[in-house]
Formats: sequence, structure tokens, C-alpha cells
Amino acid sequence: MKKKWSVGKILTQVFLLFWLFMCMFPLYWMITMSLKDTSEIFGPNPVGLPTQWLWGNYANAWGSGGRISNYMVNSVIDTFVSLAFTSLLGFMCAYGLLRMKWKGQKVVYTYILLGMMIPMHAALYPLTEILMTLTKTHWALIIPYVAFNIPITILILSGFITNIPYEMEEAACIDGSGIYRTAFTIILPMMVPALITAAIFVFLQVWNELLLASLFTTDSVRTLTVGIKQMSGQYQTDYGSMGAGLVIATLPTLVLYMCMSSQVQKSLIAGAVKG
Amino acid sequence: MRKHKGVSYAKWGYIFILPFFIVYILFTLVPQLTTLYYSFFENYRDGLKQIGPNYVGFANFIKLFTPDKTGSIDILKYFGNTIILWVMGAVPQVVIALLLAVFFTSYRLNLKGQQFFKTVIYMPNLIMASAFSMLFFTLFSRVGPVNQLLVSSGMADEVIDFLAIRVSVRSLIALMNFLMWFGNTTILLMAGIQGIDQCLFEAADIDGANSLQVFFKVTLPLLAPILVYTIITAMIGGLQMFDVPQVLTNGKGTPNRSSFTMVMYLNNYLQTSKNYGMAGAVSVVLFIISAGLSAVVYRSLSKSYKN
Repeated sequence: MKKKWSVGKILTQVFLLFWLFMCMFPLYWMITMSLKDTSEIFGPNPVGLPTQWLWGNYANAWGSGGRISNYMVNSVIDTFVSLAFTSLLGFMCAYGLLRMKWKGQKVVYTYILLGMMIPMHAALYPLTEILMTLTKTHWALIIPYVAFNIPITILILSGFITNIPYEMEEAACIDGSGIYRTAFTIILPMMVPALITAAIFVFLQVWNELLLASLFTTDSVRTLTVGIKQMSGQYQTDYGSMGAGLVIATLPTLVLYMCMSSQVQKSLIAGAVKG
Repeated sequence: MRKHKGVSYAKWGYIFILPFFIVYILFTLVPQLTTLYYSFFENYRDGLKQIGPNYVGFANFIKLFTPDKTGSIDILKYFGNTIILWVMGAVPQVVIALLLAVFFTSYRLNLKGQQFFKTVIYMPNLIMASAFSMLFFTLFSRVGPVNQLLVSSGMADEVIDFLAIRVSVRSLIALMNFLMWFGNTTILLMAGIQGIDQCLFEAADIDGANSLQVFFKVTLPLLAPILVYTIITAMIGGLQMFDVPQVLTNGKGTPNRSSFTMVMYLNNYLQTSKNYGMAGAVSVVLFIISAGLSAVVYRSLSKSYKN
């Protein structure tokens, strides 16, 4: 059958193109801005492609003037250590909650489900007090990130864990495997896809977190979210370099998404229970 | 022969959840309870003098809800701001996301490249919220490209200070939240629609229902639980709105605090005025509102588990 071009079809195409443009524009603008100099951004060519591709902006933002490289390292450390802890503790807790029978199991599960939606802002000041002594270390951010992100990890994992047949554990038990060995060498490898799903969700939360980062960090351990805000003051006159900084801050998420977009979408759906 | 006693998992169960509970209790539950406790104390810095902590009963809460000299109650104003900002962004977000989701999953259109559109739709959300706000701040500042364009094309006689006009600041914040979150909502709703039995759409088609009828009589009723759920979780998220207005208005909620949100208010007590008693009271109010909303979510969640 031949394709027919009706008015409706054309309208659909036009709408799709417009909408495509809308979704891409912020990224496009940020990237082109990072390659121009200030006079070009504010002058004749605010939205077009740069006339000269100034890669030097990136060197500026990354190197001496801007402290982006520091902030980046801090962000990476905080995010990955948090991810390691949430995954490990989340897995253990999900396994203990769903695969073992003990008193108060249901109550604990309900409590976790409910507690997940309580915003961390309700606990800010006491946290400030507890973590004040740690503000010069990465732990000041890692600890609250882990505490606030474990419940959602447990919820995502528990959806997967119930699909693993009990026969696996029974077989392991008959073969003489202890409980730790069953959990960590038999169930854990089977949970890898679920762990990745949960980890991506937590990654997006932690990488973009601003409030705790602005409260609990001193300059040496400052993360990107706070860092780029400060950078904007520093680069009041050099918008190109500021744009470069913004691109650098966004790059890890962007790369992650490019490589595994359908995985990321799966994480979003799995983590949708969180407000 | 040894008598078989059966394996008791109770001990192991506790051991497995113990590490989580230690972290959780120390850094979530205890701080939450202490917040409640502190909200009954006066504890702030007056110049160089530290006042308190002294027990003052409900005084912080009473102060929170007492009108100031101009007769307005700050917390209600900021709560109102938060709700206005959220509604301005969320209403178009849900409507457009719903339309797009229906459009992309349409059985009749059978659109090609669905995966591609699904990928692109989430793009704006990848930009860090604070980076996104910086971008808009630059774009709409007095000397920014938008003003440049408006003046040079003759659409405006003089430079418009977008960040000093209530409507424009609020619209910008709503627009950013919309742009950042509508992809997310669309993906969720698409998953919801794809969860509906395709037979129903085919049956409606055979019975001669037009697209509008299919939408209102088949899609919408079956999607309703997910839709409600999406809206309420978005509301809990909206209540915590912080980074976009904070960065865009430099923490001031300009003009005249009309874009100042609840969490910015809390942040202000914690960071600027260091009035921890009041901060505790604001936290408790936030906590009560979100707990109410969460209870609704939890009920719909446990209902869907039963099915």
C-alpha cells in the first residue's frame, strides 16, 4: 500500500518537528553558548551556531580560573560512594524483608514505604547538627544521601526479588550453602539488572541534589550543583566559560542517558513512587 | 539421631535489615523526631548573643501563623507561592503529557520511531536543575539575548527586566519546571497506557468509536488511577520546589518575595537568620502536609498491589 499524504499527516509531522525542537533547544543552546565568547552571545548571534568554535572555554572552566575539576571530582566521589552503599544496604534489606520470615516484617515494610515519601527537609536542622563536624569531609553528604535513598532502592529491588523462584535458594541450601553465601553469590548476581535500575534512579537524584549540598559542604568538598552557582558569580563577564562549566556538569548524565536510555526510562518508571 | 528443628530465619532476617536500620534511624528517624522536639524551643542568634534554646511551647507555631505589620502571614504567602508555581507548571505538564502519551501510543496512528521520541522527550530533564536555571537567568537577564532580540527587532521600546516582574518570574519558573518534568510524566503515562489491554482499543475500533470516544471512554477511565497517582507524587515533589527559584532569583524570591517557596523559607531560617526553632516549626508544617499527601499515595499504592 502506498503512503498517502493527507493534511492530518502533514500536521502531525509539523507538530512532531516543533516538539522535537522544543525538547532539544535547551541542550542545543547550552552547548552552543559554551563555544562562543560573551560578545557573540549578547551580540548579533545569540542562538545560531558559533562563528568560531572556542574550545578554549572548556579549558578555562576546567583549569585554573574555574574550580570545576575539583567540584567534578567531589561530585563523582559522593555519588559513587553513595551508590555503593545504597545498593549493598538496599539489597541486604530487601532480601531480609522479602525472603525471610520474622516478626514485624509487614510493619517494617509499610513503614519503609510510607517513610520514603516524607521529604528530607523535615529533618534538616538536626542533620545539620549531626553532620556539622563532618562538613570538611565527603561523609557529610554521603551519609544523608544513603539514608534518604535506601527506601526507594528497597522498593525497586523488592519488585524484582519476588520474581526469583524459591527453588534457587532451596537448591543452594540442600547443597550446603550458608545464608550469606546464598544471598551474595546466588541471589545477588541474579539481581544485577534490578540493582542497575535502582542505581540509575539514585544517581539522578544524588547528582542533581542542591539543598543538602549547599548546607553541608565547605569549599574543599563542594559538589557541582553548588559549584556552578558560585561559578556564575566568578564568570560574570565570561558567559562562554560559564556555559562550558554547565555543559561539563551535565555531561555525565548525558553520556549515561545516551548509552542506556531505555534503562534510564525503566528506572524512572520503577522509581515513580517517589515524589 | 539429631532431631530436625527447622531453620529459623528470624535471626538472619534481623541481621540483614540491621545495617539499613542503623543508618535510617540515625540519619532519618532521629532527625525527624528531633525536628519536632526543637520546634518547641526558641533558639536563635540575635546579633552576637545566642538566645536559647529555651522551651516555649507552641510559641514558634503561633508566631508562624501570626500576621506581621502589613497584615500578611508569611508562611501562608509562601505556601500560596509554592502552590501557584506548582499549578502553573503542573497543569500544562499533565495535560500535554497525557495528550502526547495518547498520541505516541495510538493504536491507529501506529507511529514509527516511538522509541526515538521517547528518548528525546526526556532530554531537558538531563540538564542539572541549577544549570538549567543559570541558563534561563542568563537568557532573560537585563542584558541577555532575549532582551537584545526584543529591543533590536522593535518589539519592545526598552529593556524589560524579566526578573523584577511577578508574572514573568513565576512564568519562567513554571516554564522551567514544565520543560524539565513533562518528559518524565509522558514516559510514566505511556507506560500506563501500554499496560491497558490492547483488545479494548481494538474492540472500540470495531464498534466504530472515534478517537475522542476512545480517549474519554476507554483510555481515561482506565488510566485514572495512574493519573491521580502521578499528580499526587508530582505535588509532593512540587511542595519541595527549591533549586529552580533559588538559583533563578538568587535566593531572594524576587520581586517582593512572590516566588519564594516553602523550602526556600526553611533554607532561609537555617542558613541566613539561623533561627533553628522557627526552622523546626516550618519543617513540621511541611512534614504534616507531605505526610497527608503520602497517605493518599500509599492508599492507592496498596490498592494497586492487591489487584
